[in-house]
Formats: sequence, C-alpha cells, structure tokens
Amino acid sequence: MSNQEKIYLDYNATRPLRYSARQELVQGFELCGNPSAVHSSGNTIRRMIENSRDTIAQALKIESRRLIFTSGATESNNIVLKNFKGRVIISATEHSSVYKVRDDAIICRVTNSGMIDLQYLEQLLLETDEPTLVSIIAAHNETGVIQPLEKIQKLTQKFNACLHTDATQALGRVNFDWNSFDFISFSGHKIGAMTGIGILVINPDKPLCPLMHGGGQERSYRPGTANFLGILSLKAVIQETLEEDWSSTKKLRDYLELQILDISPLSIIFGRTETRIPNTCLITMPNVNSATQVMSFDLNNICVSAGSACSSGKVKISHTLKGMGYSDDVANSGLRVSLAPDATKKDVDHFISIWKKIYLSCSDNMHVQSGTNSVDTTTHNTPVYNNSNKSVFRIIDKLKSYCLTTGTNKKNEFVQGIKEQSSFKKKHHHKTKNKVHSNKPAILQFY
Amino acid sequence: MNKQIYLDYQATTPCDPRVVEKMIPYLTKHFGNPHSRNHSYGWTAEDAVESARAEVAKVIKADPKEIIFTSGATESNNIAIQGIARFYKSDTKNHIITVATEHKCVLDTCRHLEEEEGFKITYLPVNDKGLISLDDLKAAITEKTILVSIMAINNEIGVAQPLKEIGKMCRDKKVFFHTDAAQAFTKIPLDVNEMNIDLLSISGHKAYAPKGIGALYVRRKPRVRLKAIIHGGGQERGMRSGTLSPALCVALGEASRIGLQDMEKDTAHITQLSKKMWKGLTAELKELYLNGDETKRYPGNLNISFAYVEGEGMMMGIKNLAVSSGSACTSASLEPSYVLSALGVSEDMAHTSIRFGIGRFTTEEEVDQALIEVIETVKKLRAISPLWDMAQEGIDISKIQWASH
Repeated sequence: MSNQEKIYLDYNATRPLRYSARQELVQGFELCGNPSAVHSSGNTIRRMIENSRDTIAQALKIESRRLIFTSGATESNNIVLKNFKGRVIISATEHSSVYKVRDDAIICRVTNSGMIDLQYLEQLLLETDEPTLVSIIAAHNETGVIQPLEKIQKLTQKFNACLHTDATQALGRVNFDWNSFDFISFSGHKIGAMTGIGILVINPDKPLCPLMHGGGQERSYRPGTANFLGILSLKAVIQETLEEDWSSTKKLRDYLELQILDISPLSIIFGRTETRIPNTCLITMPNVNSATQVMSFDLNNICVSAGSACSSGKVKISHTLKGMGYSDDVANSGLRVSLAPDATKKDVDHFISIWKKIYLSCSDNMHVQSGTNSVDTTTHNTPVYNNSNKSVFRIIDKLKSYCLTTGTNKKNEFVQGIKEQSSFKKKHHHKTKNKVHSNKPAILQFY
Repeated sequence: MNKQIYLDYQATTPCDPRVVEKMIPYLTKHFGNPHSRNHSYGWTAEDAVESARAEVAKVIKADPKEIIFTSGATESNNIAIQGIARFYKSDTKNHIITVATEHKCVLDTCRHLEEEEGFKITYLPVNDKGLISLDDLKAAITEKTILVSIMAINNEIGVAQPLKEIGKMCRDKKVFFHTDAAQAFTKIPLDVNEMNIDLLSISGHKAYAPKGIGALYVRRKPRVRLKAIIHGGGQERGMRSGTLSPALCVALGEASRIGLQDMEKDTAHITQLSKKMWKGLTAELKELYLNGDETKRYPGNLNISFAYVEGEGMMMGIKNLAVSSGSACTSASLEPSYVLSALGVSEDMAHTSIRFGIGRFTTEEEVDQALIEVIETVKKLRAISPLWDMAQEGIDISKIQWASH
C-alpha cells in the first residue's frame, strides 16, 4: 500500500518537511566544512549557522545569544532539567522527556481539563526558599491544551523561581512572548524542519550544567559538531511557521468534534473547555481500545495515534490522562487526531465516516456478546476492522506481506500487542462486569 | 577566489552524492515519525531506520540490536563514558583509563567525572610516535578500573592504536573497553568481537554522511549496561531518548554500506595520493617531520611539521587549501595542539604543523596543486626567515638564549 492514498492526521507526531526547507537543503548538501575549522570552507559553514541563528532569533524576538542548537526538544528538556541544582516542579501532564528526567521532580496537579492548578503551584512555590525550576508544557502534545504561561510566569517571578517551557507543539500555533521565559525547548520536526534538530533558549544569567562535554561548541551548553542541514532547515521554516494560518483548521477540528459527539454523545473530548491549539483533538471512543482504533484506522488508510509516539511498541496508558484524573478505562480509549494546516473537509468527513463505522461495529459486538453466549466470532468481530469478509483477507494479506517484506517480528509484536490488550480487557471485564468485548478471536484465529 | 581545495577530511567529509540520493525520499515522501507504531507512515520510517542500523552493524561485525543512533560521536562518547561510569560506580570501582591524545570530548568528559563525580582518571602517555605502550596500560589497570577508553585512529595525527591487543588485555582483566572510532569507521577493518570492543563510537559526518547523526555500539553479550544521559520516550532501548531522524539514519546506513563496499578501493586511492603528497613534499623541502608513527597510521592523515616556518604565515600562504592546524574543535583558539605536545613536539614545531586530510573525493590534480602551493609558500617563508638562515649555517636554534625585552 503506498503512502499517497493515505490521510495523515498525526501532525503532532511529526510533519512533512516544508518546501522552503527542501530548497534550503539542496544548497546545503553542496557545502562541506567543519564550522569549527579556521579555513574558509569552515568559515562559510560557521557564518551560515550564525546567520541562521540570527534569523531565527529575530523571528522569535529573542536575543540570538540565547539560542542553543540541540538535537531536538528531548535533549533541550533534558539539558534544562537534569542538572538543575534545586527543586524541580513539573506538571502531571508533561511530555515524557520532562516527566522522566528527574526522579525527585515534584508533580503539580492539573485540573481535569488538563489545566495547571495555579493555587497548588503557588503553594508548592511557597514551601521553601530553595532554588526552584518550574517546567510546564506550553501546549499539550496529546490534548492540545494551552497553559496560562503568563500567569505561571507571574508566580515564578514572585517567588524568584526559574521557568522552563516545552514549546514543541506551541511554536507557530500559540503566540507567546518567548523572550520572557528563562528556558524554552523547541523542536524542528514539529514545525516542518528536519528531525534531529531542536533549539534550547537559555538565560545567560541562570547557568546550566551541560549534559555532554567536548569541543566547546554552542558555548559549551551543547558540544559536538552542529547539525548544519538541520539548522538550515530551521531557518528556512521559522518565519512561515510563525505566520501560518490555522483558522480553517480550527473550524474543521470543531466540526469534527461536533460530528463525533453527534454519533457518540458519551465520547469525551479532553480539555474541550479550555483554549487548545487549533489542530488537536483527543477524543474517546467508548469501550473501544485505543490500539484497536488506530489499527482499524490504519487499515482504512488513516494515520492517527493513541497519544504521543511510543517507542516500546505497546500502547501504554497515558500518564497525562491519569494525571487529569481519568480512569484507565477512559484513558485507554482515547484517540489523538492532529490535523494539518491544509486539512480538507473531505478528509475530515472521511475520518468521521470511518470513526462511525468502527464505533458502530464495536457497539454491535457488545450487544451480541452481552445478549448470547454462542457467538460466531468470525462474522461478528470482523467489522471491528471493516465491514465485509473480503476486508478480513485484506487485513491478513497486509499483515503477512508486511511481515515478509520487513523480515521483522512485527507479526509477533502485533499479536503480542493484541494479546496484551485482550488480557487487559478480560481482566477488566472480570472485575467490573463491564461489557467490553475482546477482539482476540478476530485476529488470533488466523495466526 | 578559486574554489578551495578541500584537504580537511578529518574535520568533516562532504556528503557522498549516493548518500544524499538515498536520504532525500525520507525528507520528503516518507516523513513519518519512526516511533509512531500504529500507522504505516511510522512503519515505513521505522523499517528504514532498522535497515540503516543493520548496515552500520555490518561494518563493525556487530548485531543490529547492539547499535543505537545518536546525534554524533561527541554524544556517543559522552553516553559511553558517563553511562558506564555512573552505572558501575561503587566504592570498589571508580577508575577510568584513557589516553592523553584522545579527542577533546573524551578528555572533557573524563575531567568532568574526575572533578565533579569523584572518579579517578589515568591519562596514559604516548611515545613520540603517538602510540601507547601496552605495558603502561597493563600497569594502569587495577581492581578499581571500570573502563578503558582509547580511540582507534587519532583525529589529529592519524596513528592507529593496537585495538586488538588492548581489547584482549581489557577482556582478560574484565574491564570494559570503549573506542572512539569516529576516524576509523569505514576507513579500516573493525571487528568488535575479534577486537573485544565493548563500546564503539561512530560519527556520520566523518564517513560521508551529514552532520547531526552518529551511532554507538553497545555490546549485548556479555551485556554492557549504561545509565542514559537523555531521558524521555525511551527510544533506542532507553539509552537515548528523542525522535530519530529517519533521513539522517538512512544516510548513515547508506554511508556505512558504501564505506564497507568501497573500503579497499578508497584505501588504495587514499594511500596512493598520500604517498604522492609526502614524496612530493620531501623531494622539494628539507626539515619536514611527519607527526605520528610512519606505518601504524591511517594514510589519509598527513600531519606534518615544517621547521623554521611561521605557522600563521603558512596558513595565510596556503589559504587556497582547506587544511587544519590541529583539531578543528580547538583550532579556532590557535593554542598549540595538546596532541602534539603529548608526543613531545616542541611548541614551535607544533605551531608549524599542518594536517593534510585526504579522502574519497580528493583528486590527483588537487594534490598536485596543493604540492605547488605548499612548496612555494614554505620556500618563500624560509627565504625571509632568519632562523632558517642560521640553521643552514649550522647554529642550533634551540640552544639560543633569547633576550627578553
């Protein structure tokens, strides 16, 4: 299956390289030189890097000496948090590259719509005079909720604490006065530059201990030969990122949510009452596991995700939704849709129709399973993935060919994933007598 | 200005056009996040990353599962040294051995561990050829030693340390062996099993891939464990979180494939040009010194001291050549190279040393042109040098007592 016919609704995971970045890279490929070398080839590269730094700084309205190039937002987050000498306060919904850095981090509560609990934060800040770093995600990668950074900043200023924000998803989608924060993390590939490049905004008056040691590049905050192509691509896209118009995307997103609530009034849209970035929607499909949803969507050529891109191959329950106070059951049925700035109504309508199909076929199953004991699982479970028998074979063929072409153990992983889900559900079923169906037979009987 | 002749292949290499061609689709069409495990954009990207991993592994005869991608050799070295030191540190284990001529990032990492985290570091000396003595190493390894970190090929002077012997000694003594192979990867045959290497750092941009990608080999049997520096999504088996760039990984994979496939051809080409360069210079100029061992070296690196020539004058005279005087990381400072100092090269001679780096895309014509420019410049500078005149008259310059003003 080629990628062309697919609808990509996973813009928060990564987005395609912008045209301007491609053009810039074509020129970059021609050049060779180590930016630290003294000869003119090296000088050319160094000058281009410094010009890029100035351009980006100007666009962000930040002094260019505050910009450090890193390998991405994960690294930027780690540089700020890892070696901070003092208390670190983070929100319960931080991205794992903030959430998992410090074992001793103090977790600040969020409301059930995902907003930071400002009173609680103030209380935490009041506790001691110890140097404190507060790290709050600007716009959430899963829910899209935008935090009241100005208010948070007033608090941190009042208590003389440092403020860091992971603005990976916020850049270009929310207007903040970036210059007013001590530390900021930006990512390249979320704004249409290359993967493997990011920015850390530092405050020269508030020193950080670097994670790595070496040739002293990036004023020792981040040694190692700079990712020249990555930097060029960042420079190329920064202005259009900041000027990007998301208003039609927001309308489409709101339309999508209304349509889905119409189909399934019990669906929860996380953070819906708060201001959110315009392209993101995290919505539940009641009683249908996230993994089942994303796989079903994939088989229908729609790319979505269950949350942030996960490395382990399993869909884990998001600590974000737990942090917002939702049960595992609810958290485990969420689906993140993140639209492109040029998303079309046609694509969204198609998504809605598939969503409806998946939802209805699962409801059917629930109905049948709860009604009788002897169910022909083949015919009734199939529609979880699609409506006709023919499509069952399509799924199997697809999986088989996928396993063959990659030569990896993906089949096993896939089956393993399904097993884990079903065991989770079974356990759950047993415990709560909830009518959650297990989709185990539909897939496993073919393997 | 004429286009500069690029002779700085140790600082960085141009991207091989074959590498560029292979990576471009991953910048445009296959843009997925390789960690998105639930849709085919992610799968396509992940497959590309995994085949690239296999290509990297093949070069050093490792298992693909033992390769983790990083942003470059500096990060790889940091992860390896800090990671192992912190994981295995105890009251009875707190000692690391490295060499005085290692890359800056290894030395700085070790210094940090020494100053901030209470580790003991032994910096092994090198002889005047730049090589370590195995007896020194043997004597330095104690019960407390966790790690030995010795680079495969030196970035400044090109000498190749005896990896196999070092590896065997480390294995016998049950200490971990890390090697910074940034300059050696795809340049000389490497076999992590035969050489008993436990960790090996790889740089993309020294092997005709772009900057911003590297790799670290971490042995699985017997298992080597690391404490990660960067935490987050748990990518790369938890040793290095952060979204991988499929395009950059593919580029490193393709550079590895080409490097392995063309290793013999490249080596023959580079050796021939290197010989030509050295012969051409010594035929016309006296008092040249090749820094580092003559035979135990990578031929693509000629680090030469030109006696009685003023270093900056030399760089100005040959400004049509992109060459370095010392490691690029530190050369912006114009301090004499610590590597050359470790070999016992005097400060004067260190200042006049030039590193000529020859690589895959260096041509005969470029070497010819470089020879003309270097010979002309050295002759010109020596002609106006009173020291050169005195030396020709038989005065030993080093014995002169200079009056201070």
